[in-house]
Amino acid sequence: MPRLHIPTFAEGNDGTLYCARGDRNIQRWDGLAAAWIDAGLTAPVNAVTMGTTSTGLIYGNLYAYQRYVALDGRVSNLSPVSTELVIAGVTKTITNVTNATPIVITTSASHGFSTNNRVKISGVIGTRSANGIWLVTNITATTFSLQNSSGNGTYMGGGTVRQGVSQIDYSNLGDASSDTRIYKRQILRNKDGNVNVFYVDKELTNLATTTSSSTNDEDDLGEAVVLLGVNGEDLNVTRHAEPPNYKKVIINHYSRLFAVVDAPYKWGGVAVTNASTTVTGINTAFTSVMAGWELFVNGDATTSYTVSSVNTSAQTLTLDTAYGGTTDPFALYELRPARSATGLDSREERRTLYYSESGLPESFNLNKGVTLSEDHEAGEMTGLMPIQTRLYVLFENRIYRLAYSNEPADGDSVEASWRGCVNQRSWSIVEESAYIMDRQGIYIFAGNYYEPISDAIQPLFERDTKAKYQINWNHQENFFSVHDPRTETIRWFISLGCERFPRWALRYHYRIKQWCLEEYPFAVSCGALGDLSGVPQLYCGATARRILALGHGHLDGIPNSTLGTIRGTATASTILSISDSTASFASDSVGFPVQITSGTGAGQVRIISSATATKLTLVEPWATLPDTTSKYQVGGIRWKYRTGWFRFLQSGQREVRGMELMIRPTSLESYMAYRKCLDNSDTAALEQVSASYTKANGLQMTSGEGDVLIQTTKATGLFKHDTDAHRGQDSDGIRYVRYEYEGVTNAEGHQLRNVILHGVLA
Amino acid sequence: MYLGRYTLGDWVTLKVITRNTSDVPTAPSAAPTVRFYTGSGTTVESTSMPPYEKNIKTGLFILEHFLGSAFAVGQYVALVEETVSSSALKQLYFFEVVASGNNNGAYLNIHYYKAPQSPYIVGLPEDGTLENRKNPRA
Repeated sequence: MPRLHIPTFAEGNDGTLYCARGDRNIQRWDGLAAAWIDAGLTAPVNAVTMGTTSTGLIYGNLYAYQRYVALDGRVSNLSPVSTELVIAGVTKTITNVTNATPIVITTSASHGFSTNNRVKISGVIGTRSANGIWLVTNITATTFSLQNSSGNGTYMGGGTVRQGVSQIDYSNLGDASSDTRIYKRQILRNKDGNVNVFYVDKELTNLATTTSSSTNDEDDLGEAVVLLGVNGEDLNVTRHAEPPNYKKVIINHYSRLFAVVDAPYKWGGVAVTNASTTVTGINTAFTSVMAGWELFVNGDATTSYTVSSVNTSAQTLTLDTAYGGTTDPFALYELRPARSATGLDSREERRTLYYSESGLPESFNLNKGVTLSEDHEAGEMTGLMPIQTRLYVLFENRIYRLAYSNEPADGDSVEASWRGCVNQRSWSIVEESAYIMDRQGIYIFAGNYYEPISDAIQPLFERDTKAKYQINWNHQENFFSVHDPRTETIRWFISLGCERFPRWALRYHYRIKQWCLEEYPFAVSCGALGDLSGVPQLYCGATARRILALGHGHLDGIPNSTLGTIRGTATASTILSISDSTASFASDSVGFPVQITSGTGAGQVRIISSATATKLTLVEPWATLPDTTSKYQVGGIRWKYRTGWFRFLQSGQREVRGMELMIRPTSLESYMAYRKCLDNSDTAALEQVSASYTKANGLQMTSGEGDVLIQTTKATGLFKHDTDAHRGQDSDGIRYVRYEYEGVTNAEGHQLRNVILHGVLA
Repeated sequence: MYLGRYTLGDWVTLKVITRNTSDVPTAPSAAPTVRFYTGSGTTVESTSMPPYEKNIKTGLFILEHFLGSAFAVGQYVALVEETVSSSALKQLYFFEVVASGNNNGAYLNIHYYKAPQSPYIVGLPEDGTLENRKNPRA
């Protein structure tokens, strides 16, 4: 199975939810239906065939359409129009009307009517009660009586009698019963003399039937359906097309659904044969929507072939012209969306956005797309971003503003920024400003200016092979941002290593303008802001079909009700396990992370693949085998805080040097430690103690180690460690210090309340 | 070749360089085929291997295969077959699927959907099935 494109979700104004995926139809769900279904309605493909039966009052030059209607009233485009049905009928001039009961009509010429024929009389002056629709009787060649009629005045002249057919027979409707989106079928026909206004003649809820008939004359026809408005605008012909199924980004903006960003397909390979129109996929998942797309083979960007049909079960494409290149049993390829119907090739199509009719999120007039001018510096289109009333089209290296009043197609696109956006999920709106990530960094965009904000983390974005961390742009499609209004932060989830899905997040506090880097024990692939018990809550999707409530609780993935043993000291281990003979691990610990917090192998995190009461088996092997000095924590969240570099006071006086830390005490034991680094070294300075000991205030020193353990259960939560070393003003000694604090949470969170450094310049 | 341990919903990667009898990388007559077997010999899935950077690397084929609903926890064998210079060649790859994953894979995107009657978290995992999930506390 190939990888899928990243889908997007958007809610319509009526609350219906839509999902676009780029290689299949946009789907809809209203929160009530059992399943998602394709959005929009496919227009009927069959032109109705019309016939007539008997004599009656239907006449004229008639045409018919059919269209489908959903249960909520949404309609499809019209079918192809029927061929013209000409019902000439009989029209005779009236020369006399009796003022009697019944009325007797005399025509100027032989009328040819039979008893019980229906006729329509109009224009009679004087005996006005003769006007109307009647059954006739007492026939002679030029006279007939109107059944159940009675004169109401002396005939003064005028009048015609007309007769057509009594019934129109419709056929070739096509079986539509397999499309569950359709509630009913409407057959529309016009009135004689008007080909712009059609009327609902028949509604059929039996979608399997392919024939129908109607005895409605002009007066009986139903709702009017106008084809073109007074200014020639299309009101019903092509206005209700289905949303474009090859765009993978949709957004809702001012009662319209917008669809942008093509999703070219190049997964797997193809086998192509010279002079053949058949292309066979190699580990592909071609979908039916790829019919009409352009096929490029082996990187030849100048020669393309239009796909005329797709066989999804055999995974073959049929081209409209035979492949002209060299036969290749395993070629590289790319399928790009194109719409030959509107004359847009794939290059223009990928710069084109479509939008629905106002208030009709599933009705797209695909003839009204907005194609932006080509800008070679802009890169590929990546998304759409609404800020208040404004709509911005995002490219890799540019942002354009789409300015329009009523109809987007009548608007203009104006370059708004020389920065771009990585993808549709890498921007977040906060207080009318967008926080956006592109390949250069992260910046604030407010419509008329942009301001870079990622200087502090800029090495991540630069192509510096010596940098410790660098963003892996190969997986930028999977990057995303989420805004957390509770903490006033925005996280950009990124890949720093070779993993496809992000396992790191750049977290920006937009009030205090501070960055931090977060690492997660498993990949976090997507996120969304929702609420939990009425409070804003970030949710993240992850591997193994997990959905995580970010920042909720203090252990990764472990609900408090099923804890079991989650912290202890190893009694044994193998390359793929860790054991604690005193433990009582929960059997449903599978999938949770376990990490070595201190002792041998500290810092390693592994995912649990199975658990017994005393043994945890792991997915991946240990790099360093834990031993009986190793303390472990299941589900613990590791954090690290590092100060900047501070310069020691060099006053020549005896100065106290050290640090004072205040934390919120915990009731459960957990790992917390600090270390200090000196003079720009990343290595912790060793504690100069001759033997391991625990200070009365809860700090635990180990001879020969730089880490000082902090006893988090100490009731005061206050830890102080001072030395009284000092240096004179001119001596060449230690000048700079930096402290690092780290911890791994147990079932309670850690909170650093205060850090005070003594003996340094503020 | 032993490929390692995977969890359900992971992607297992097979890399093959097709070679002739002189061990020189050589393009095969058709894309290599792959069949996945359980440890007991039952065929699980089969497919073909697509080429990789064929203009640079002769005979290099890489298949990324999703461990979806056809797979369960257990041992697996992937049999790769190709024909090079009229010689039929076979290669075996072994891997193990261990617990802690899910057949649906990772979520590609999620959306918090406040439907009129109840909020949902909807999402699309890698297996392509749109899901509507409900957290009773959400």
